[in-house]
Amino acid sequence: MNEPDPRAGSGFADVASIGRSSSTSPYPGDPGWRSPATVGGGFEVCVLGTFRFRWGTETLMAEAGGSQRLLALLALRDRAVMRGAVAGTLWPESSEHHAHSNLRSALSRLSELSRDAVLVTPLDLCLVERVKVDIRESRALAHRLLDPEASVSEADLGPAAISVLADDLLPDWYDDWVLLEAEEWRQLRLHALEALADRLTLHRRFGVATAAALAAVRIEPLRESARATAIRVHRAEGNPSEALREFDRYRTVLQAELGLEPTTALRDLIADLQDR
Amino acid sequence: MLSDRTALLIIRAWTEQDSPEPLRANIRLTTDVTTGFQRSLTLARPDGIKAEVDAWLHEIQTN
Repeated sequence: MNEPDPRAGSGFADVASIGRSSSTSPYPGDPGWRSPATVGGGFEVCVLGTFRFRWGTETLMAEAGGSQRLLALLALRDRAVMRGAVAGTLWPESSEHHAHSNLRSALSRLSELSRDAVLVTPLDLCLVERVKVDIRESRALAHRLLDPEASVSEADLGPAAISVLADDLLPDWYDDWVLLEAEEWRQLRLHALEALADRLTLHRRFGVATAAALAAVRIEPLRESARATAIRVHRAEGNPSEALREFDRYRTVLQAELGLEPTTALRDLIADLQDR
Repeated sequence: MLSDRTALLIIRAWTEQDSPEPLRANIRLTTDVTTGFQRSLTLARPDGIKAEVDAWLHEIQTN
């Protein structure tokens, strides 16, 4: 019986072509098969920005909708999740029976390769421990930056850290569970970017400090603490004119959007500059 | 699974201490999630926020 090869496709790296064009194959049983663990790249689930599922350096063909959402949910839960909880979260408007049926279908529709990334038991599901998830590393960075007792590396204080904190979580997904996680991440990275800017200012690394502060401003232009952070960086660097410009930009947008003035606390940050 | 005609409104609210009107509410809304968010705005007064929610509900019911 001729059945469509579930590995065939277009767009991203075709899983079948991975096996044929290189000396390795992701498919157990193929002559060139090697476990992802031995290949070295391994699996990665990316939920910051557009959803991506990678094996080594290759972006795998997008899984069908239900399977993609399943991988994303397991990526956001860094522990095993009961099957009932997974089914109820992904299909909240279905009956319990139909939700469990949908989950079984989603699991069966995972590609042969993807199944290596998911540990399934009769009770629960989780991603295999070696699967890398981008937001876990990003969250860990954010928490290190926010903890004054934590030791931070040079990489934690570089431009790459700003990039790690820059992306929204699955911005085009509207499932309730995604929205909640996205809001939590948004708040965490806003605070982390402000903390990063403050740390860099203490180290007199004003260029990267400014970039971190302005990254926070871009995320939420009406957030006063982000503006205050930017103003403090400019003042520490010895650029009062930049500090005043930042204040004026905020006052302009606040007036235009809400018809309000900045708080006294923010005004006090630049009060002595205006008296000159 | 969300239907094509699912509407969505998200209000993100916080306060700016020391402001004479400390409430801030960012509203993102759509009457059809398949088209993405149609509007995004930030308001500071509860009556304005309620008016936006009422208008959104009215639009869902009449379209």
